[in-house]
Amino acid sequence: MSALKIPKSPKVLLGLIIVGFFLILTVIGPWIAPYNPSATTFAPNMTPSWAHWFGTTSLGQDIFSQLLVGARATMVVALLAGLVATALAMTIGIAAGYLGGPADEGLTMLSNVFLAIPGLPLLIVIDSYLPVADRSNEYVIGLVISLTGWAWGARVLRAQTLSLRNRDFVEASRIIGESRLRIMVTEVAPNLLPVLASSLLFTILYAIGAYVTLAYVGLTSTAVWNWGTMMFWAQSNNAPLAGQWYWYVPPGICIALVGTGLALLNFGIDEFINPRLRASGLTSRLRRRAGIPRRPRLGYTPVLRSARPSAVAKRLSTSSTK
Amino acid sequence: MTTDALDLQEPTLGEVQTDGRLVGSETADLVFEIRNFSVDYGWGVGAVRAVNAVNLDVHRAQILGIAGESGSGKSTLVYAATRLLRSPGVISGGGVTLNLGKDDQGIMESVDLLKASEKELRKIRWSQVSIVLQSALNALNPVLRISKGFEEILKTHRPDMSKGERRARAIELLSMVGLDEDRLQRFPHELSGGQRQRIMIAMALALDPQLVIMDEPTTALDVVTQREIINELSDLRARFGFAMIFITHDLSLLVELADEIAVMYAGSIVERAPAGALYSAPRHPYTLGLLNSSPPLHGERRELEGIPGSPPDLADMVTGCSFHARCPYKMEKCVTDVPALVPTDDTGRVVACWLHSGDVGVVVPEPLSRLVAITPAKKFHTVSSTVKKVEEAS
Repeated sequence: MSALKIPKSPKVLLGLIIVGFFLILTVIGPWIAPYNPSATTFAPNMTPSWAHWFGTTSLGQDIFSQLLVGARATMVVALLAGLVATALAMTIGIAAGYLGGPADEGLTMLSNVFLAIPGLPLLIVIDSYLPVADRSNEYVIGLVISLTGWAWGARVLRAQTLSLRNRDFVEASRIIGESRLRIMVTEVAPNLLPVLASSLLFTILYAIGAYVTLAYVGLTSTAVWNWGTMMFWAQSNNAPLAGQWYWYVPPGICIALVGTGLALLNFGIDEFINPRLRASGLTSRLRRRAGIPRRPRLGYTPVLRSARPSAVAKRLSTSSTK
Repeated sequence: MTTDALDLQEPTLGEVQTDGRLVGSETADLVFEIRNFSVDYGWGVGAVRAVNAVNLDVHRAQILGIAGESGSGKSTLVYAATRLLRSPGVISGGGVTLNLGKDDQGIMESVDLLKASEKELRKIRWSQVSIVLQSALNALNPVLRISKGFEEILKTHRPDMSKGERRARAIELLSMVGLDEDRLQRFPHELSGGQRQRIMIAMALALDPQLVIMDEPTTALDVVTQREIINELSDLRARFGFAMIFITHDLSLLVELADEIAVMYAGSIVERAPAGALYSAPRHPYTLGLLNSSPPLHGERRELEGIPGSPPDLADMVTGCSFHARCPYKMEKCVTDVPALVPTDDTGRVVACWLHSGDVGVVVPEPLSRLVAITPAKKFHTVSSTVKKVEEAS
């Protein structure tokens, strides 16, 4: 696919760099951590130094190591929950939109119920029913989070499917006898890619928030290091009151950065997926200099600034008196 | 910077006098002028030039036909010139002027379409320039009766008309395109394709525009209906004196209808000539190929030949003449040098072909050297005189 070239927009590039950085950290974080994050072998409450970049906890654990190790659990849960929730949203949304009738009624009702239930309390309730052993398992937590995060995406995808299902190319494949599954998978789904991709990004964002919140409240196993448990320990040891900002600020900044990266990446999705926009890749600054508005309007074809208006524009007629 | 740009847009047709006026009997009737006009799809490195330095004039009561294969840039040219081209189309050079006619002092009022604001464009659209598209079914709102369409145009643009006058005008417009007044109360789905297309034409004429653009309006219709509509258009033009640009790939249809025909290939005009001269004695090999690929509406039967090959990739333009790869009369020069549009005979024809550039030693092959059978520009003069009569009468 020749579409996979480096995006020209600086916003998207920045998003790509940030998200890529944290993805790499997910893989190599635990390997490059200088110390065991749980080892209580250092002096407690040390301020940042070259040996301990972010200081130590009140138990004498290295905070920088906790941050690096915690990246994996946080990102794994976020990615897993994001993918599963988007897959759920896609299945339920497309099926509801395409099948219609009672299937639509049932599926729409289901997603409305999940939309109406506040996500976090539900999550806390489900989580508290989990066996304690499962609370330390990122995959179980990820699946539980995905259960509360699919409804919004399903609604959006259903609406898009409704508008697609009566297009000529879909009707044509219905007439030639394609199965409903095939139409949904090969005709409808590819057209939903932009919506799907941006829904995936925002579900991942939601999942990070949900996981960190659960950990911060203390509902996940404290044996697993993630950015939420770091803040949980910081909070329960009165780090904010003691002015130990280096304990709780770094995980907070990491969460915020991942969120920013995902949001920036979302700007580029349309550019990547929409072939009409891809053909016209220019940074907004160059585009403005060329005289092309950011959003082209129908009925007002832009004139490049390099093209000067006609020299024969204002001209008198030959016979002024006739 | 400005002077450079001005040099570029030196008009190539007509003579400009020092005071900036154009001389010549026809220029007074000039309605629409396109100068050195270029259009790109996309911008920056990925830009593709779809229309390349095109010059065109449309005079009052003249029907200008634009012919060419799919993808030759004929629709792009006209849509861009009226600022209707969709993104990622951008205008990359040249000028487009619409002359609205003379005011009380006899001074020509004109609009530079490339400079005009959205508001100015909105004002001249439909009232001065109207357009008829190929698919009339999609252009009419399926839940509104035909009368409602006319009602709304007239209400907006002719606010001082009374309800009765609006209705009378709608009936008059329908009868102009050969439809009975009871069609007014119909919904679009109750009408046939031909009737809907006639409604579109009637609507396009509702505000007495200076210029009517027809983008393949008859392509979806059968030959008989096509013929009727063409005849009606011809009559209407003679009666009301509007200028018309007619886009089609059907060259033999244009020969029946148009006064002058411009043949486009790969974004450029390769030949422009009075319809009769173009038909009876084509000069560009591409024109000849087009003429041989569609049957004439009447006249003797002949073998249909077509043109082998396909148009060049605009993103990867060939050197020299854009047609050389498909041209049966290709010479060495054609591969390296781009031919310019030059006059060839006294019919007012211009052609971009090295065969007709007057080079010594070039023998023009038989099909391209026929004598012009029909007296040049005969049709055009008749029309002009008709218009004059109409003017005198009114």
